[in-house]
Amino acid sequence: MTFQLFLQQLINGLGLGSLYGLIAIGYTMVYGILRLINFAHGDVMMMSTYFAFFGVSIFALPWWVAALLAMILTGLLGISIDQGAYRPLRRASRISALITAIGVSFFLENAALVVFGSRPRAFYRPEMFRAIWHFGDISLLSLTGYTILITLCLLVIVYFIVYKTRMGMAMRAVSKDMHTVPLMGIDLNRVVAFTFGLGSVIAAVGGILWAMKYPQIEPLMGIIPGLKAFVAAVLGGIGNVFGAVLGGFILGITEILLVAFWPELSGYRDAFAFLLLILVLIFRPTGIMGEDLPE
Amino acid sequence: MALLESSNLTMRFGGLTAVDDFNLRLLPGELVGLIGPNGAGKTTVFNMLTGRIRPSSGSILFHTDQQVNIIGLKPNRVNRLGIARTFQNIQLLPELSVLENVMMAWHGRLKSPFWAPIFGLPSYRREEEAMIEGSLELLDRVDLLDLVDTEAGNLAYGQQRRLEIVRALATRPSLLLLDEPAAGMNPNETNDLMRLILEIKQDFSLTILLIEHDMKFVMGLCERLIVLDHGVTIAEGLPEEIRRNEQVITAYLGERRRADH
Amino acid sequence: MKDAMQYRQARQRWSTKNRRRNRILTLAAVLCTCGLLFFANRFADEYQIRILNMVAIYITLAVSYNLINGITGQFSLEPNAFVALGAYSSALLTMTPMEKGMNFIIDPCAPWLAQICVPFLPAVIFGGLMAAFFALLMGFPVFRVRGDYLAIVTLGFGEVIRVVANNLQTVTNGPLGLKGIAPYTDLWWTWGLAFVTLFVIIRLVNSSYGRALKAIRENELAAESMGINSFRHKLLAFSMAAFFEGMAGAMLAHLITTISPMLFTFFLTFNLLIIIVLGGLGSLTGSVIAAIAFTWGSELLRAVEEPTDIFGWFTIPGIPGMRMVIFAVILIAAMLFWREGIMGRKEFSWGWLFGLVPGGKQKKSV
Repeated sequence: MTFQLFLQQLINGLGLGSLYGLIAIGYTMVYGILRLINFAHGDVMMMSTYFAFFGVSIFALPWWVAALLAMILTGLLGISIDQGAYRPLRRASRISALITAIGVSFFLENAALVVFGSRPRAFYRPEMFRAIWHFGDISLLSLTGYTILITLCLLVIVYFIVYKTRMGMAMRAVSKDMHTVPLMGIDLNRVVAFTFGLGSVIAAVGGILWAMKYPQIEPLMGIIPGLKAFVAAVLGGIGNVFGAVLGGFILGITEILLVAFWPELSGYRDAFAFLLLILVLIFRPTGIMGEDLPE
Repeated sequence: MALLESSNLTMRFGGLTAVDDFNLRLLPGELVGLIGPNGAGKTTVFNMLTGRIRPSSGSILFHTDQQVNIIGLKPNRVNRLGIARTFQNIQLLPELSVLENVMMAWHGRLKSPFWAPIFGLPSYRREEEAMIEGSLELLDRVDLLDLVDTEAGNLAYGQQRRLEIVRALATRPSLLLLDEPAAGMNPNETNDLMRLILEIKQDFSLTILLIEHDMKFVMGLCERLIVLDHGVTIAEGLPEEIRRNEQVITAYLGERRRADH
Repeated sequence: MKDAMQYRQARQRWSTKNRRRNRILTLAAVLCTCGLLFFANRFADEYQIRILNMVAIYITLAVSYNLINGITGQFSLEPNAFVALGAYSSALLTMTPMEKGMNFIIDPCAPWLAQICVPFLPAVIFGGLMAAFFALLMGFPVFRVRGDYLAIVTLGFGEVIRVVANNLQTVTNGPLGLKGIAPYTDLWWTWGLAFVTLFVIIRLVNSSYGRALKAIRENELAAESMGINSFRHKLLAFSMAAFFEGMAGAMLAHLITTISPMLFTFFLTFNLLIIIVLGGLGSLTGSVIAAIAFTWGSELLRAVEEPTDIFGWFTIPGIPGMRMVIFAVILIAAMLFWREGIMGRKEFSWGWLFGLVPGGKQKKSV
């Protein structure tokens, strides 16, 4: 493999990893504050692509309006899932919330199958994402470049929210100790709802970029990216948004390079993330940037 | 030879030092009280001594003549070595019966493998019988014999406290750590509890370290006291000495003043 | 001390007497079921026998799944993975070299596997052992770190099994799957396995080990402080559940005789989750009742996917996939409004049954 080709694959890996990272942010924030694996997160991302799809195909909206609308709708969907399904179980045992989460995930998948049909739909890729950029010998789909840029921008925004705003401070306080927070005059429920909303909006960005990349969508498309994004979150250190994106990058790059070096293993690509998860649990359970969250 | 010796035990959470340079030397058969205002780090000390949390630095030796190092051991290993504890906020299994709560404490010593009860091996049945018998005897001591089949969650508060002590005893400790055993008890119950503690200490040849806020209780029971404030040991000595210690009085007055606000 | 002695003796007399009675009654109940199976075998039609087989397999799966989820309280999503593992392992073992030759048409079967052919029972047990082995492999890192990763790890493992079954052409025959597996499974096998599973898991749960598992579920902090090694007990519960799930998978393979990677989807796990939740997380009795009810009920629910005729006046078109939506709604609703399920954490006992009969004397249950 030449160095150019290697660089090429590296950038492709970064592009894929950005998508994992964007989904992983929502996972990691929710786990950070509620210790809940939100199994429905991947399916929320799937829903965002359908929102955007219908915005463009049925309502004939310009793609960026459809994308913005889809982000808002997905955020609302995330919040309503939390309020409707998880909130009543905040004081119940943790297993109840987890079972509900898997129920919501299964519901979204199958309701989408019934309503949208199982046939994959072609997703619109706007003009500006179709161009090919050339850097010397490396050529790059502009979508990949934009994906990486958008991810980094969003990371800065999320950093600002988490570390510089009152709401972010509350989020971090909840993740340290959920039970003392109400004593500090913070409305726990608003913090949780905000977290779900933010995570879902970012997942929507990831979902729409994902749909443009392939460019088609189907109701079960959220499962595998969802699983991998969770692996990315654990790899980076659960509870840490930087870790989530970093974990996404690492997962995306290793996955692409693995297939590039050993094409005969490409069928096992989806199993690789799982192997990585087990290795992380064995050798560095807190992830790269993680600290030990209290149980 | 000391039963337990901790040197320079320190625990930091993030930037906060919960316990700083804590030194403890317990001789076999002692009854020592660990006192101090709220948030002084007393329970953190217990958590370190029982393997619940790993100290940031320092050492804990159990049976100093055999140099048994406790740092890094899991709570169940520490318990098997002979250190048992009760909890400040009672940690029973509310849905299991009183008897089951005590029998559970036998499990760590069970010799039969998991397939022994499945095949109904006599060796297991003997162990189970011994478990029941031993648990009933212990429950008899604390007047809970009539309640063996009650769900532990349905017991009165004082009964739950006693059940927790009995459960700790069932693990056959040589060192017993009691975290606020008298909390929430009325004066009568407190007196009974004092008698009980002295009794079990005698009968099971225990060494006891206890945390308690009730000064009358501590002064009447303990042979020696250690006072913690903000993670630092500010005084150590006989109850009478502690009673007159200026620093201790200030620490407690400070708390009362804080509480008044 | 005398009090305790007397108390214990009275208690023991009472419990030995009851134990003997209960043992006889249990034996009688098992014999009755066997009698029913005998009649079913002779007189029931194919469809009914198929359902009875599925009921037994679902009982086996639900009871083992409840051991890890309900009794030990560790949320796991493993059954479809272990069922697939057991099904493939045993099917490959019982196939004759000639059958393998007929199946593996794209790539020949791996040489180390091609000549192997063993009888049914060892193949079933091997299927269980394979599942238990992988349970240990997964449980080791997970339980050492954080138990709540178990769900995602087992969910991922299900995907891995599917990926491997699709790609490991020379062993699993890839997407084509395996056809013409010998139909060894009959009512005696499936119900035999269900009874063995029930026997083993009930005995375990009622022993000191069961108390330890429940202690871990209710309060891991207290359990560990009382000397219980929670890591080892979680591993025990998880691998034992896997063992029986693997064997159930072997039964399934030799019942339906055709398996492929598409067969063992997450839907199976989801069904079992509904069963143990509706039966009551932590109640083995509940799992048995719910498994029976669910297998019948889900047959009835097939109706919503087929066109329904209402008195011949008009036709409601069937909605494919609607069944799964309904299942999802049932599960969420149960978690929100009916967390106890049918049995809560209670178990059936003969003493309880006698308490129902007027005049039947009922003392404290032991």
